[in-house]
Amino acid sequence: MNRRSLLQSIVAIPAAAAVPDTPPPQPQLLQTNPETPTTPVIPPVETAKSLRRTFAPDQFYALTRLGEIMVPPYNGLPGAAEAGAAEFLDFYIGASPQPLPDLYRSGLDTLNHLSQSKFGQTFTNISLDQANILLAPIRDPASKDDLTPFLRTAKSDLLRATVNSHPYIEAVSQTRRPRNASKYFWYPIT
Amino acid sequence: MTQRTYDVLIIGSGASGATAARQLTRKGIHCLMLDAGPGLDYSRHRELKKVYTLPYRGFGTPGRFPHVTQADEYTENVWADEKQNPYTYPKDDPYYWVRIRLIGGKTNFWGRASWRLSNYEFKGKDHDGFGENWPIEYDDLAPYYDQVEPMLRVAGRREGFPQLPDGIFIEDTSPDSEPVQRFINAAQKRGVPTTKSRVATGQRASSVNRILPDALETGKLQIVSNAVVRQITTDRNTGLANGVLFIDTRSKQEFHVKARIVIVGASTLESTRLLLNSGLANSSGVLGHYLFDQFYVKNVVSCIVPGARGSGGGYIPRFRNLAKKEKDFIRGYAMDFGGGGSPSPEHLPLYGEDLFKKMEELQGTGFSLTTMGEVLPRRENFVAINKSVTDAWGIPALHITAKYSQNEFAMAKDSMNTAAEICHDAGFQILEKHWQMVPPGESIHELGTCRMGADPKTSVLNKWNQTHDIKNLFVVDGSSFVSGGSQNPTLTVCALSMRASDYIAAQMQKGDL
Repeated sequence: MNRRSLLQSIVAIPAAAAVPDTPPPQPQLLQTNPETPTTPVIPPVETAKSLRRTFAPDQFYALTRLGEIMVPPYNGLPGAAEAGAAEFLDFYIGASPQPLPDLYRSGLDTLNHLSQSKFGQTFTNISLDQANILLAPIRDPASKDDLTPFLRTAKSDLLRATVNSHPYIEAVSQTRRPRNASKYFWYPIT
Repeated sequence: MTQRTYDVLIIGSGASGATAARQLTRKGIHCLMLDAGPGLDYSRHRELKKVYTLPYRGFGTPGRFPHVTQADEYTENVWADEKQNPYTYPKDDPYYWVRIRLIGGKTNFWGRASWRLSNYEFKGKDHDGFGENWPIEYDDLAPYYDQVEPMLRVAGRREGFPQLPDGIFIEDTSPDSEPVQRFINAAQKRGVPTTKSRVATGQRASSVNRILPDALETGKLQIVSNAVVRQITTDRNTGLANGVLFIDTRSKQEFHVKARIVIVGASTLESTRLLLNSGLANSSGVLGHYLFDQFYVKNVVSCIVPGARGSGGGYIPRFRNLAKKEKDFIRGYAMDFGGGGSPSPEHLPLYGEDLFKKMEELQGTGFSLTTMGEVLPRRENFVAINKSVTDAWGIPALHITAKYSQNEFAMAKDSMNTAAEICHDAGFQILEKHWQMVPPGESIHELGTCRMGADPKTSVLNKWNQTHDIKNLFVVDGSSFVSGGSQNPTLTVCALSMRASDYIAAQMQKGDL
């Protein structure tokens, strides 16, 4: 049979006749095999650096500096810088509804503005002593300063972003009093 | 296919619905239960995870739950989605409606505080002239409290307080730590009573492990999950309830189920929403009105305890306006107190190494109180149907109007001052005090809107939780409350449901239902 004849014969076969008698193969159901292993995966924060999307460069550098001052490394545990707290907050604040993004942007702009007007440099480049002068409102429990709400929010967020980070939890797990950092996560229930 | 008519149809599987099912099935009555949520499979639905593996590092999905402060990134999939289940409120008066749609309802995650009401609540009008009395008194409900406490395994300590009746407790004989003892001594000197917390114990006592199993064991209870009830239907000849229309949440397929008796226990506001959407039981015009809850002032006073560390805590029952009118407000408030934690960094005006050193120094010395105050039932706090907003199943949503009154503001301020005075007397160092109440609803103790009463012109239900208008329609959850006191309401919800169920069973036996 030449090639042309072969093709003609195939086309001529009725569709029903082409169906084999044996039933089609069933899909492999993983759950029927109790030995199927769960494939281990890791979260992206263990391997990669978050891209900056939300804050302008001066704002981001001010937030980074604020993290270094408010949450420094302590007793061998990483601080905000090592924990990538500013990078995380750049992502998280950017994804949050108002008024949080505006609170952060205006707060960071105010810090830079105050720093420029008092010390001639952005907040990123001033000394710790100079920064402490600008951060005085947070040391006053009764402060009514306009900057206080931002500073209190940033302090809380930077601390949380640090102690919930991968580097911090890994470091704590090496200490004599390891913190139990695991809790039950609830999946969508339908 | 012949459609079966059930003896009793129960809407909701939380504290009230499950208690009704337990009581009725144990008397041999066949019940069908519908719940809007799915069932929990603890092995499939949860997993231990480290916080940094979560997408938002434990902060939670941004903006997902603007009104559920209890949600965190670990639990956020459990709470009712506000986009699927919307509601509205006046622009400047937000209401925090916190819901869980699961078999077992909110009992899957409740705080388990279990307090009895007293005649200071049931006969509140007799005491101070405000509002309405309940159509029942303490002695009517006491036998049911006696059954509910063992059902939930409530632990506590007997005290003999008239405003906080004792119950059938697992006796709590645990000793008090030094900070707690110092606080109790200081409170006693000011005439402020204290006691141990009364909590349901066991493996997270809930509807699904302490109530529903008894009902299921009878073989007389069937449960349909993912069933959102759209409407209670009535017989056009008799006007009696004859079933409900419900929707399968997954397929959106609609069904009608028939029953001789309908019991609504869908949680306070969902029950009232269902009655309003059904156009039933509102000859009084009261349905939806008299919404109240209990206001909270979280961490009304935060302290450190110099020279002592120790955990544990307790409860201050209402002590204002009991024997005499003594303040510029009526009714009263309770407070939880506890020590042993570390003060929150937010309460320390420090940062950097100074903050860390201070936190190390103060570790275990924290002590704080939270106020839970009575919100007065007032007609102008109400819910109504907002026909322009519907949920994911096309059912009109609620519009919720609720504001605190001057009475609550005065009470909150008094609680702050009282707590601060006691802490000062105890020698504690006060870090922060305030009287900022959480928004209405946030305590998750919403009550009223379908209240009981002797007069059909001023109430929706009679003293048996039976609607005045339709004798085979009952509402057994917190919506039936006339007033709420400052006690967490779940124990009373269960007792009311149990009492109503006994009445239903007796009426069925007599042939009156």
